Amino acid sequence: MEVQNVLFKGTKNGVIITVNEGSIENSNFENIKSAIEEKIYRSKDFFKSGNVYMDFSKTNIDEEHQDEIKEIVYRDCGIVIQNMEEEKEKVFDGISEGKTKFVISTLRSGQGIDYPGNVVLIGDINAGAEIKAEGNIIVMGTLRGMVHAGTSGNQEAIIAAFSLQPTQLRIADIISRPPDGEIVKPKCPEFARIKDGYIIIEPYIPNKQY
Amino acid sequence: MGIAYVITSGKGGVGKTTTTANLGTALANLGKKVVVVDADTGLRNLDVVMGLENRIVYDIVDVVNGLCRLKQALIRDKRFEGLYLLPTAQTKDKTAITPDEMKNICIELKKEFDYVLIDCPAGIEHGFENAIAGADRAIIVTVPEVSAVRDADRIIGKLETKGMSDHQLIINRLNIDMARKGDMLNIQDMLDILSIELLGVIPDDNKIIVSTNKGEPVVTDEDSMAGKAYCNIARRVCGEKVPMLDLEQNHGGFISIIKKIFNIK
Repeated sequence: MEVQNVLFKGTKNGVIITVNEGSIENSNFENIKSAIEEKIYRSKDFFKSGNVYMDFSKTNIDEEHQDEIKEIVYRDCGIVIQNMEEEKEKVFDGISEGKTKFVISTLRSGQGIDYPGNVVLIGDINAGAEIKAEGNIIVMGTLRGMVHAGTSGNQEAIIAAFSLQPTQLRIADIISRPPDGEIVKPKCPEFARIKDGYIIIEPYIPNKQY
Repeated sequence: MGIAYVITSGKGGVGKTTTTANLGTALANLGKKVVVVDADTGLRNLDVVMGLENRIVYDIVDVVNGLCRLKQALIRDKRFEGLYLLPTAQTKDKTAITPDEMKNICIELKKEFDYVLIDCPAGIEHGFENAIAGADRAIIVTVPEVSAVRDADRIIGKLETKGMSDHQLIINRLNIDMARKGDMLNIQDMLDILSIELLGVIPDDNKIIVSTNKGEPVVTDEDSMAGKAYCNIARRVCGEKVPMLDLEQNHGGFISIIKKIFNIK
């Protein structure tokens, strides 16, 4: 299978054009240049709005030539190529096994935990308090505040509590809140996770396969 | 271009937040575009009183830090279309915002809205300075107690040294029976001490407590005396001439009618 030599990838911040030198025949600067030009020219309208970045990390092109390519792209297609920002933030992947913070206390209104890993809270979290964790959040008590699991984008993260009565739940980039009106107090432990793009809450039942 | 009001009192617990929520709701009910701004960073309550706590994603501190646009932080009320809330952060403190930043936000909000109501924190420190920075006029809330009136007087002095001279007074939680018997400061005494224009009097009403706990401003309850009083204040803010609510109507009965006829207090 032929590896594509110029790849487009959409991200939160814009489109990244990745140049892959290895797959271009007789890889030299001229070849790469024409490959980029051709590919971008064909779909130049696509790039008109939004940020466009160019990733040269898989090539041996030096900076001078990189600038030349950017200039050509700007001249021919009217697209401004922005500089690549420092490496994208890494998504925390220690959901099933990873670093974890244990806190033994009750979080009161205005207090908060922000941790790049899993958080286990032995105590309650009151309304007005918040936990933000890149991994899972487990509360061995009543959860009344705002919790955000998987802050760096891990959609597998879960939130579990002995009594789940949150103000708001967030997992990765999905936000949910309880419905307005009657407040129903849960009778058993519950946990929340993402299913089909929504946050769902399930009761924890022993001996059930999740 | 709208107008920005700060709702302040000096003393805590006199009903600034309740007044902000109810006045905002009543103004929106009159068809105005209103935004209520919580300036009490670290001890926010306006979102709770309005029942919008669980909708907060971004707040004013995020706007100031450039994490989101101002429009993204505004929360639309669930009952009234023209009513919005700009919440503040609970996990930060008052120093998270400077008066200049607050001023800029108010200027932006005034372009979009007819009325900007700023809920001021208690005290005269940094939070107070922030809250009044962007305001054009002030509404001072007090209760018929000597300590509250003393603090209100101090606040009026503070505002005047800042160059704000356009204040109006709301007397909150007036217990009619006690005022009539003379056990409470009466309205005229308070106006004599503070010598500012009276915007309205809110009678003591247990429904306020119920509505605040439920997150539904009392003006949505048509039977409530306090709700009516807030509606009248909203109309006065809009420039209408509305007579002061007859606070004795609920305590009426034969004797009071006779007394009224003979003008006996």
